[in-house]
Amino acid sequence: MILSNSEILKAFNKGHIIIDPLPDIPSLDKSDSAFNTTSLDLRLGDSLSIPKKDQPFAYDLRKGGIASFLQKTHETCRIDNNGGYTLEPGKFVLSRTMEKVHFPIIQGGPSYGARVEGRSSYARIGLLVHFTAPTIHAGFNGTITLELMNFGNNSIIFYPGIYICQLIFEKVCGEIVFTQSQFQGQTTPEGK
Amino acid sequence: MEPQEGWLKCQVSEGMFPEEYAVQCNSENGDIFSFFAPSEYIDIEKNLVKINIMQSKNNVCLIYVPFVPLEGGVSRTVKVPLRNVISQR
Repeated sequence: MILSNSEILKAFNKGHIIIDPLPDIPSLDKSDSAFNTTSLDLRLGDSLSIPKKDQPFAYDLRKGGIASFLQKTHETCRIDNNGGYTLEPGKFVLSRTMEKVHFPIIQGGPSYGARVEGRSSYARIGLLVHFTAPTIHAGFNGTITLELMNFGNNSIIFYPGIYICQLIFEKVCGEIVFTQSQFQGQTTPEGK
Repeated sequence: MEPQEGWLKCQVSEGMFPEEYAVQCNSENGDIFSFFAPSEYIDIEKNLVKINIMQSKNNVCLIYVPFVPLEGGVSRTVKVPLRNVISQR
């Protein structure tokens, strides 16, 4: 079940969901709140990872050491707060959320997960912010990597701190187990 | 029952973002798997990554790694040599 904004806030207050820095709650002083009715907007961090140009190679998914290979084939840069970063049509870069997200696994208590989604306003200009694996699983602790792709016909300029994506929170049903004994004799994913 | 926290010997190098590291480890059958992890999961001086220990038997340890490995077919549950796992730093 998707959490409402008031349930999201309750989970924050109980430490069941940790977002750092904590998003603003809407008020007369602070009207640009990150809270929607059933989601929370997250902001773009200030770093980008850009594929280096003109590198004729193929990623071999059976070959080990992809992480360090990816590092070598990308360059990291900071987004200029004034000039921003221009993503040309058809180009792809990686970035991260400004916020760190933590879903602690609480034995005997509620655990939460989330799905990261784009924003409809950006979809209209052709900006994809995340694809393939939207689920942030219970136990996750870190910033969320964003895959920014410009599918539009025009350049898009973005800046650190803009609301870039949204998280849809869900409560995990049932206890999360790790060890064989905790699966209580189940031999198939269906528990047969 | 919570899984036991432990550390896995690995090769740590620079990641794709600040405060992120590329982690490369050896599985029990000799295959190499790798993933990215933030600094709080890494002991860079000792080349260790924080993992969860699920089971161990006959010099093999079943572990749960904190992030999904990038190599095709490798899940977050991986068998590694027991000698590469330490329960405490």
